[in-house]
Amino acid sequence: MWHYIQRQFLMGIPVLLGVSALVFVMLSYIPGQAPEILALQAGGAAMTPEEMQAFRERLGLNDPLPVQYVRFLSNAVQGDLGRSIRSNRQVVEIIADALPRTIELALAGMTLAVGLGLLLGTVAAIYRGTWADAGTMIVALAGWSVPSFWLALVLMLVFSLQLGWFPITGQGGLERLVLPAVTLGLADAGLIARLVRAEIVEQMGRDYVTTARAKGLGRPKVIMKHVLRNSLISVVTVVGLQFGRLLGGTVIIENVFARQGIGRVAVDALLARDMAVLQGCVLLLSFVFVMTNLLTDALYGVLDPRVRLGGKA
Amino acid sequence: MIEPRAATLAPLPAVVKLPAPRSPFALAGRRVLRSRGGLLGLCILLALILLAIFAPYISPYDPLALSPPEASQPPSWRHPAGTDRFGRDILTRIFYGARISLRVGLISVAIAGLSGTALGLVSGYFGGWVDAVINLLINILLGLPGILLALVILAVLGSGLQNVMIAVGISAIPGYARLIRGNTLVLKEQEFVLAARALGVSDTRIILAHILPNVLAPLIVLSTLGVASAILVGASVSYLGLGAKPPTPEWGVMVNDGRNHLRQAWWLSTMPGLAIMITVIGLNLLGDALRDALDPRLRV
Repeated sequence: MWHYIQRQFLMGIPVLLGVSALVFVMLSYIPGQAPEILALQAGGAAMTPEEMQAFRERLGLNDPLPVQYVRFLSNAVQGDLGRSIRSNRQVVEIIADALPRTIELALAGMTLAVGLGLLLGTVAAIYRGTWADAGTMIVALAGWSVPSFWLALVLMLVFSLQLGWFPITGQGGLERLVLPAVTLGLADAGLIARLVRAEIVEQMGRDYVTTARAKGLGRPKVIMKHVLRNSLISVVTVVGLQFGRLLGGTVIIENVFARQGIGRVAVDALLARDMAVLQGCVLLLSFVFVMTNLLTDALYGVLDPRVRLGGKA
Repeated sequence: MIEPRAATLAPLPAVVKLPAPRSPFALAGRRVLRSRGGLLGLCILLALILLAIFAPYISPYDPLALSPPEASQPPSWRHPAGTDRFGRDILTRIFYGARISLRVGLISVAIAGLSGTALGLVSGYFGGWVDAVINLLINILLGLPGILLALVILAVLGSGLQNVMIAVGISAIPGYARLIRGNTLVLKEQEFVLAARALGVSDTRIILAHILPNVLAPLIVLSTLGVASAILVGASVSYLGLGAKPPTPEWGVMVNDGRNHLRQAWWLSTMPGLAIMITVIGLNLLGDALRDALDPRLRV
């Protein structure tokens, strides 16, 4: 099994290298590159073309792109992602400040999505064909279709402005985490609920369910004791794969709620053309994303031996 | 001596009653119309298209002209969705915004669907190093959450609606490529493809005439759901200020416009957001119904 997991993770290396190269090349084509902007901030048009040239030389921006990339990569693996052109802080420091807020949000959102999704999906499956089923699935569809930035504003309007239950924006403390986490989790709760329902309905037709029913177990008990466990494999896969979407979701939600997480820092950097910061944030998110996907694949193999053993094809 | 076969057969009866031939797609269409969700989704979509096309005839207001005396009015009979801070009728702007959102959805999906299908067909059919290269490329694109990839592409291209379509389109390519590749891998081992190859049919013709028609069903389903997610992502980046720009009646821009006035004028942000949600629900309903109709086992 270790062999299988190792192989899964080795496959991540070319992908990560590819992503970093892609992002590096794309960002190097961005109009209004760093030194020009920095020059403007440092003293406006006072910088002569010669000075600008010297400046670019010092930052290594005149080297061929592959050279720049290799230098960036060797610095990056040593924990140096460059400095922000706005605050001159180390990008690694900026990320270290922002990361906990994003992780906190993502975990809270995911927990909520899985909990609510399992609950709604199971209820819908147990009461299949009734109004409870239809109602649950409509809620799931709405959750899946609602634009998160809008849902965030509506929740703020109702729970912060009208009812005054939660602070509107900012970070720190559980009360500031609730609304962002709900916004983030609701979309995936809808997806997970639909999946859980479909999975349970499918499993209910299997022989082992007939056997369990024949020995006298009631439907709810069969679902709780047997069916749910067998459905979990595909739920784990989807949750793992959805984690990436969730990470993307944090980008938007952090911006709506003004939480200084990675996503907010990234969009700020993008708007200010602070490339080192943007690059650092994008690479970090992509690293987490790729690792989660690999972990999901590995976990899938661990949970379901058929995948691991038949995986040669 | 061999007699022509036809001569030995009994003459056909004068009238043969055969059911009218129906293509699988016509059958699927009927099934969609018979499903409640599919019908509802289709109605929402049709209504939206009609509103988008006939916006100037339906609404007496202009989507852009300022009218300061009517600024920030709550919903009323005159202005069913209220007016914005510049006195423009929000419902009118939502109708015009439907044009933009539908265009963003359709063009992004066209970009993603065409390139993704081409990549998937080629990589799945030829295998070998072609497959290895394309697959690595797909995995690299999949290595970034979709919205983040779209943001980075927008950072390079600059903001603007056209660039939103390109960015959203590119960021959706890997999904299509993966789906089509998977289907092609299965199809190319089937007897009818092997037979075509044995007969000496060219690779191009096998791909276009034999494999492509067989991947259309999942492609249609993914594209319908894809329009929904493209509209969502497009509105999201516009909300963040990286897509369409303020006077444009784009739904995400309109939601952003009311963001700082929630307390005083809740309708500014709420109404355009509802439009996005209804549109996306309609497309998702239609996509789900299409999936059930075309093949209940399909999992896109």
